[in-house]
Amino acid sequence: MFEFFIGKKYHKTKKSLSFINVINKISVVGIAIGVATLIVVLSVFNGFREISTTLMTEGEPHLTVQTANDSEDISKYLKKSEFVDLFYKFEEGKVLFGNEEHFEIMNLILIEDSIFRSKQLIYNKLSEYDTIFYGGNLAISFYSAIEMNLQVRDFVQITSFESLENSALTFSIPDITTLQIRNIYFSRNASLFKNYIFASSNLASEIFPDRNRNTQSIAVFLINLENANEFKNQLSAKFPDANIKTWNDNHAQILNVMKIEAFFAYLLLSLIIAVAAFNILTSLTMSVQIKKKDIAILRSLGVTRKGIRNIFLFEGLLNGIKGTSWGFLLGLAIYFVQKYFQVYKLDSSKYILDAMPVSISFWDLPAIVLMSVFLSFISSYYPAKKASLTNIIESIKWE
Amino acid sequence: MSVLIKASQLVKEFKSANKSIKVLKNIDLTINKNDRIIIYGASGAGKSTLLNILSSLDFPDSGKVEFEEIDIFSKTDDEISAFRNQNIGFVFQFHHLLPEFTALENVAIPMMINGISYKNAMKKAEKMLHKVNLSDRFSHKPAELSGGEQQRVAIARALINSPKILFADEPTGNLDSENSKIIQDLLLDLHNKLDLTVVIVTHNSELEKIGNRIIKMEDGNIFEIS
Ligand SMILES: Nc1ncnc2c1ncn2[C@@H]1O[C@H](COP(=O)(O)OP(=O)(O)OP(=O)(O)O)[C@@H](O)[C@H]1O
Ligand SMILES: [Mg+2]
Repeated sequence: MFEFFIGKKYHKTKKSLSFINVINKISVVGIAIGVATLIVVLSVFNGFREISTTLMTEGEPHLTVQTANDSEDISKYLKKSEFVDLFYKFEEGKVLFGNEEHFEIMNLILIEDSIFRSKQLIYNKLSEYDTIFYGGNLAISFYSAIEMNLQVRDFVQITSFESLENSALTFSIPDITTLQIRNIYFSRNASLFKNYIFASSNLASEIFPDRNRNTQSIAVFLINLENANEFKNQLSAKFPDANIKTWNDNHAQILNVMKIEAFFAYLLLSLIIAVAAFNILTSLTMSVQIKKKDIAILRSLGVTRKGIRNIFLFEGLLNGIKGTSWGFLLGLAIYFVQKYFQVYKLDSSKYILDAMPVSISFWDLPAIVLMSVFLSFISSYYPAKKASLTNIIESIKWE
Repeated sequence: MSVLIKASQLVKEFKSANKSIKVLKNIDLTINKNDRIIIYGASGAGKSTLLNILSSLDFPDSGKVEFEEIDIFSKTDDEISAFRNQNIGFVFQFHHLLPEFTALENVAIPMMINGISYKNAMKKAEKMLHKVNLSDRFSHKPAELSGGEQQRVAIARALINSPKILFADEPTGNLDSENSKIIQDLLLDLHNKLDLTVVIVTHNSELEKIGNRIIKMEDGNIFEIS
């Protein structure tokens, strides 16, 4: 391809005109900075998104399945599935919880004793009076303990909303269950930390006495969180009557907001590249001006208008590609240094993390490279098009 | 004797702000295969303008140029470009080599434009430079060559695609008599060896000797002298 052959040569040999050369360098360096910035910033966005996803979902089931009559079949299916790490039945309900001094509205979750301690729930126990949380006993979060001035061994009262409602309708005294706090846990999941308490599933009929227990809820933890949607589809194909929700459904809004934020960051930072690429337009326009005679000669030798346009497109694009490559390497270098040496630290008294989290999402890289090359193309196109319209006779006369 | 180019009723006018000059006034000219046409005339007579139109670099305001019976200007721009690349060679007064490329690359470029690979084009270019006695200047840039050498490279470039006709606009206009003689001999030699049709515009009376037809141009008209 002779257009590339000539364009490459023009790209290389501009030393004679230092001004063009300087503008060229500015465009290459600018594009490199833009590309590197994009890679780093998007990887930080991504890092924070991953961390917050982890935090939001820590201890939260990846899927919850509600079913009226399939519960045994579903359990069998879950037991066999290679996606599933852990699953258990649970009951859930709003309760009023407290003692004579304080009370709070909480979500109470009733699960089997053994499940509470399984690793997937990661409720780090701060204090444990009783290693096993069984029979009439209760686990609350460290947050609630501080808020309500409670300690292990304290007794608290629990009344479900259902029985409060019932008593209001029937003018009777609501059922109150007294439980002893046996466990105080810690969780990085803010919602779990602030709004939940746990008790043994043995208490179900005592706390929620009027419940119709035909419908059962099953919590599912997968080996890989990312498979949640796929597994949901699999499951609902198999059990169409079951009502299945994924962690994604519960957090869709915040996850979308984070994605939109990252997208706008991408667009905004592309402006850096656009500004840098604009220098290609300047330097290429000058280059075309200087090469008018060359263009006329090439035309006289039989190069078509399109051929001339391509020569200068290549010349300009090579700047873009050069800048993009350097920026790509620089961005990746910064990314790896941060990832493995944590150069940029965070104040760990304010943040849960001690260093800026970075994570590259695979499709960001082609998106950045394509944007950069596209912008270089756009700014090369106008001068290249102009070059192709050069008048042969007028330009060849000059000497 | 077969006709290569037939130009009829060529008119070219240049209009500037207040007046217009008719540079070609209804010119008819037939160029036969294997002709060696020498065109001379005063400065401003319109010689270059005529040559540019005959060689498809420029358009007439009216009139026709037929090349092997095909009207050149009825073609599209892309077709004319390809036509020029394959059928026409140019040598200008100033060498008009591309300054950033070596002598060899300059010669090879018309072949590459025609779609020949770099490697094959360079091989053929070596042969062409050999023919113009520049075997030892392959990797020199134009600026590193003498005027005569530059013009010989330009001739090699003009002929690499084996064109049917070579147009030269004052090829020795910028050279001393010694170098002019070299170019003159070379053109004659190549004409004989390559079975080439040549049209040369010149002020050089020595060069007129190599022509089989001499045309004088005066004020936009041509007169065939012999
Ligand atoms: N683009 C143009 N605009 C206006 N006038 C032009 C243009 N090109 C050529 N001319 C005029 O046309 C006339 C013929 O020009 P041309 O270059 O053909 O002359 P020439 O015979 O080749 O002269 P020389 O021997 O000096 O090269 C000249 O008077 C010139 O001023
Ligand atoms: Mg002239």
